[in-house]
Amino acid sequence: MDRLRTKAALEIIVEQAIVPVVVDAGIGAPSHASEAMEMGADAVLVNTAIGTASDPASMARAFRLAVEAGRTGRRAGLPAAGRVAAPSSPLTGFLS
Amino acid sequence: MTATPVALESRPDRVPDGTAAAALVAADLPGVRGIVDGATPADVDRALGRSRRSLEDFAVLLSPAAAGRIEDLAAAAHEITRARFGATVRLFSPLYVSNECVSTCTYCGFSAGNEIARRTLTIPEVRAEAAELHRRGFRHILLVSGEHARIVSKDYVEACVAAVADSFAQVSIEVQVWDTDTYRRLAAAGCDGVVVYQETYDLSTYGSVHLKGKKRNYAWRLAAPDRAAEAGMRRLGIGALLGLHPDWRSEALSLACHAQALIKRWWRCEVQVALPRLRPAAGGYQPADPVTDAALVQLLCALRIFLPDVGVSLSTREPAAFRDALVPLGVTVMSAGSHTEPGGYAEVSEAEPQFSISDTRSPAEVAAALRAAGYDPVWKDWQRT
Repeated sequence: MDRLRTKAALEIIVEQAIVPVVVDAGIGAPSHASEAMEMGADAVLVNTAIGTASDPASMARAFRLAVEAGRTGRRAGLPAAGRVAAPSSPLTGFLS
Repeated sequence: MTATPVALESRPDRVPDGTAAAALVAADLPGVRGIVDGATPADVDRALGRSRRSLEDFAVLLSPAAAGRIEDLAAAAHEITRARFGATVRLFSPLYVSNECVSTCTYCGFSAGNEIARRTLTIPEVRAEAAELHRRGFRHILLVSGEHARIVSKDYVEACVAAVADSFAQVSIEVQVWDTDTYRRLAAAGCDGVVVYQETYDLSTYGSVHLKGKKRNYAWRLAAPDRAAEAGMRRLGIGALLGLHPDWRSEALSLACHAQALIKRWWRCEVQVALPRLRPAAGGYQPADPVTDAALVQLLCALRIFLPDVGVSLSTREPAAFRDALVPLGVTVMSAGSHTEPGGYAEVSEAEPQFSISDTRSPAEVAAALRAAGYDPVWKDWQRT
């Protein structure tokens, strides 16, 4: 699956979903899992990337660390990435 | 308004090659100014959407089209300021050491022709003023004076710097401009920064408001920040007195271009820009072309978006509520509780102030207002070693 398109869709889903979001499919490397967690996913589901690795146990451990890293980064408060949140009160209201 | 600046004494009336001043002189500013009026809403979108902006983008952000998008400019400026500076505002205080002046500048209260109470602080008086500012919390100080080669001499300013250098983490000066060797001497005495406002970048307006004195040499003044940087000064402050020249947008372009050139040429220095609007002063001066609040806000936001790392200073010329409102839009440095007459802190002074103050809150009150708005007032962010 095209990762960029997945990312855009995931951003919208995470923003709007009112239930936990689990990302399945398209997670081919630990860094992808980390990115999904940073974006606000609650969990990732991984099969092929671990199952087909030459050392599945080590790969599983790598995914665990990646998920922890992504979730911790998310919780620590990542800076807004190119999206300007509309402030609750206007910044230039004093001019009018 | 066709008076031509003249070179006095042996000072060169051309800027040296390889300086930021030379880069500014070489820039096609009239061409960039032409972009402003023709800018479309789509141009504004493009300029806002980029991650790095050119001087041409800055021109677009100064346009009437961008004025209609002021809230979007403000949001971008706010986000960039937060990303680069965090929620902090550095506080400093000016310390006026003398209002003696031999230059005639039509807009200034210290102008040579004005019949005002003149005073030059003795070094013990400078120490007393500095001690009072230290007691109020300041660790960054700006020594200010009129231009008088004999009374406010190199030796005198050097002695003033030396008198306060031990108790202040950072000392800057805003006095007449000097050559590189003099700036080296002052740096050795403990001076870290030099502030030189060009006042107006428009040559013809410059000549028409600076009637007498060494200050008439436009090029010698323009290259002063370059000389200060060459001498090892760490902080460079520049500015234009908004209201001197009828076209604030062309002044803004020159100022921003100058700041960009300084940042590029003197990359070890911290460059700071001030946007002072003219205030009424002794001599009866009234600005011919006052800059509106909306224009100042647009200029501040555009400047922040164009130069994300530039320091922006806002003085007590502006009223308290307006200053507070401008902090989130990109102001990173503020003075507080200022007196613009020599000797106004430790005691009541009879000397004439340079201009009238609008924000009369004490330093503690300004710090409290910043905290209430979620900002950390920073009294010290540098230590000379």
